[in-house]
Amino acid sequence: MLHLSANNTLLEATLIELQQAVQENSPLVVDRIVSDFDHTSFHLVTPDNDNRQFIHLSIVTKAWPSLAQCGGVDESQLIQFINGKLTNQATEILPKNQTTQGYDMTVRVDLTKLDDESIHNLSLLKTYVMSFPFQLAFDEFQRLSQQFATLAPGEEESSLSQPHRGQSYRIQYRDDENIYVQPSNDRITVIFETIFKDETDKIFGKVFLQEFVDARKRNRSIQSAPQVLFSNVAPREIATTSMENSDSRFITFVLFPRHFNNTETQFKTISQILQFRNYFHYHIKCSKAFMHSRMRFRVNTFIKVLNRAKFDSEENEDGEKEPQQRRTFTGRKMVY
Amino acid sequence: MSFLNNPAIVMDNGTGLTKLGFAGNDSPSWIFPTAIATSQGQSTGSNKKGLNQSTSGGSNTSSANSYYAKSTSATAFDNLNSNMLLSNNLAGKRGTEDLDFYIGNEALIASQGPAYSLSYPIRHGQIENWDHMERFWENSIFKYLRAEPEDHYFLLTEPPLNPPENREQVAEIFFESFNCAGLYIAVQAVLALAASWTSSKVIDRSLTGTVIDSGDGVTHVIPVAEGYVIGSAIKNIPIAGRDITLFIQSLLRERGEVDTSLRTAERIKQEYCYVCPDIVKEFNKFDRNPEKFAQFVVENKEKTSKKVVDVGYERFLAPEIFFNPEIASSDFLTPLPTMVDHTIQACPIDVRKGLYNNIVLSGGSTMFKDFGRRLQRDLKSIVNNRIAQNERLTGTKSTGVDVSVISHRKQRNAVWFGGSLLAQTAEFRGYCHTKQDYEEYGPEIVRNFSLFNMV
Repeated sequence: MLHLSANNTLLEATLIELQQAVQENSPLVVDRIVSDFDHTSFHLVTPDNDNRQFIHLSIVTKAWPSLAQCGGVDESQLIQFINGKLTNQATEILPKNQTTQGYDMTVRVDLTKLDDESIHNLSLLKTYVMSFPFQLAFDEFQRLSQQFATLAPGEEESSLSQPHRGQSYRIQYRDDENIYVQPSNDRITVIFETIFKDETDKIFGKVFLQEFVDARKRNRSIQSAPQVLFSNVAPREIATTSMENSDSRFITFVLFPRHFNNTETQFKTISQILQFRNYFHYHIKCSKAFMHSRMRFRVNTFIKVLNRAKFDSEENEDGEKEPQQRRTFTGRKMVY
Repeated sequence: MSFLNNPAIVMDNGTGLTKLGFAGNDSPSWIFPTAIATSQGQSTGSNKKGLNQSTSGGSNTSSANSYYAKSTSATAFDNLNSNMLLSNNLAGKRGTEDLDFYIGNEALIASQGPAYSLSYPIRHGQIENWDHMERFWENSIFKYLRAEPEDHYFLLTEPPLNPPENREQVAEIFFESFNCAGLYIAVQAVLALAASWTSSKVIDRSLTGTVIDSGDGVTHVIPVAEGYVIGSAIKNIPIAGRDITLFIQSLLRERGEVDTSLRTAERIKQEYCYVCPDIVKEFNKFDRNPEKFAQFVVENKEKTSKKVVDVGYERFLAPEIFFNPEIASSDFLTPLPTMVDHTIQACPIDVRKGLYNNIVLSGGSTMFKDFGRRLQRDLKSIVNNRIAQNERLTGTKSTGVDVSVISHRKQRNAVWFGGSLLAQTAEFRGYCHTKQDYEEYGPEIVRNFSLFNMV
């Protein structure tokens, strides 16, 4: 089915395999690459041949430089945040100077201490890394909404027209594509900037996004879902930060407090929003596949019709020519 | 364009199993059956729909109305009832049956229920059902490999003698549906040769050699000269992994063991079987040392009852059917070494030495211990006999032919591994056809791929 899980199943399967090998006292030596969406790769390597219970899990992702800027001047806040997410005795984030060459972050995993939960946590590593600005936005939202609540009634009036906006966070998750997270006093706005390389995809994408926006209006059962907006020009929230690119499309999700009022919904919201682009492209590809299967079917029926117009064998066994039997396009025999 | 970080994806879609993974790894990331379970309610497959339309002609459209409304057929639009048009919701107009499917192991599980039907889109190495294959690929790329095809280069494999039209179809799917960055389609036998470069016995990295590819269904002997398959000389042997398993099963049944399931036979094949140098001596050896007989413990799921199956002569008898097919089958009687010899003799005379010199094994059924050694010995004796006869008849001295069979540790997934080796090199992207090339020249561009010449 058209469903993508938030965690990396391959990473999970690999870790389970390694863990089982350790439990059976025949630890493996690995050097494997696992890939994920949006220019993200994981690298699992056994650093020490004699001490195989430890592996190094490294991650490199396109979004890392922009994520590291979100919190402040350096990436220490980001690392600290991830550490908080992973926290258990099996894993330890290595300091920057021990990070595997070419990767953004390395986690040392003790295979003997792994349990099911920590394996699942590790397979969510990318989601955790990417959720950092969202967490900052949630905190910012808290601050702004409290600030707003304490305002005097008179001031409230004037500020209603101009909602309090906090700092906006930019995640550059692909070469020319960004996610903007903008907290304000009563909502968090998430804006996807995306580009279609292919002309066909552009059209498919437009139809889909329009349908996506309209679906909420029609279907009463999904009224609690975040509001979605779609446009070809940059929304005002990011007009100053966005680099103008005529090919960009903007999809805006408006998150209300009910979408992030506890950790569970927070996680669900983040993981689903982060998957949006992949899911969307997957959907486009599936639709193309469906169109292709329709086209193949159509061609087959046309060929069947054409085959009916073919002549039967021209000569019979005696070698004399039979009177030609001709058929009409619909397959009926012609009678002279 | 930052494709630099992204490893190329290597996909080897075989008749039975699909091997998926990233270039640079030493083993495939996913290995699962090339199976797809599609929803049975209304398939997008062409055969079913053809049936629907032919049965309900023009006269009874009114009665078939409700049926057509659910149909995904494009011709059924005029039959939509007004209710559905009013709703103006696309999902209401036509279903999403085309998205309702599973692949791989999930497909096997899903097909046990009543709602799904299982099908294998690849038959005899070639893709038969493109609709299913396209969906199989889309699911394996997005769900299993978690890759955006636009960011990755792909290496796909094809069987020898694959018609160029099939290649074009593959290119159309990969470039038009998936917009993949670049594509290379390699012949499986050539990749198996490349995989043998890891063996210490290989000194020069040539793409000349004979590949013996034995999977579950069929065994091929494929001669390759300088990267090109000599199609006219390819030979098939109808003995492969499944036949060995069935043979073991029949032996177990004859003896009346407690557990004679196919699964047990398969486990015995994998764990205990080996190739012996001489079948008579091996029988004697077994009779003298009873410890050669092994015991296989069948583990029950609940681990409550333990069944013990004795493993006897089948340890060496089972793989023996490659070398003496008459013990298992009555219609195919040519031993494998003779077949290999015939294959090489059918090739042009100037490449034969190279083909004898580099016989490469690939596939799970060549994994038996000493398989390569036995093949080399038998083949050598055939070749030496011929040379001796030739020398006697002509009176000239031959320079001799060196026969060498190469076995290596990556034999099981040799094709995939060869692909992984080639796709991780820096030159690989230069050999691929890119999306731009495809748009410039059209699908016929994939009829030709330049060969890897690695030194």
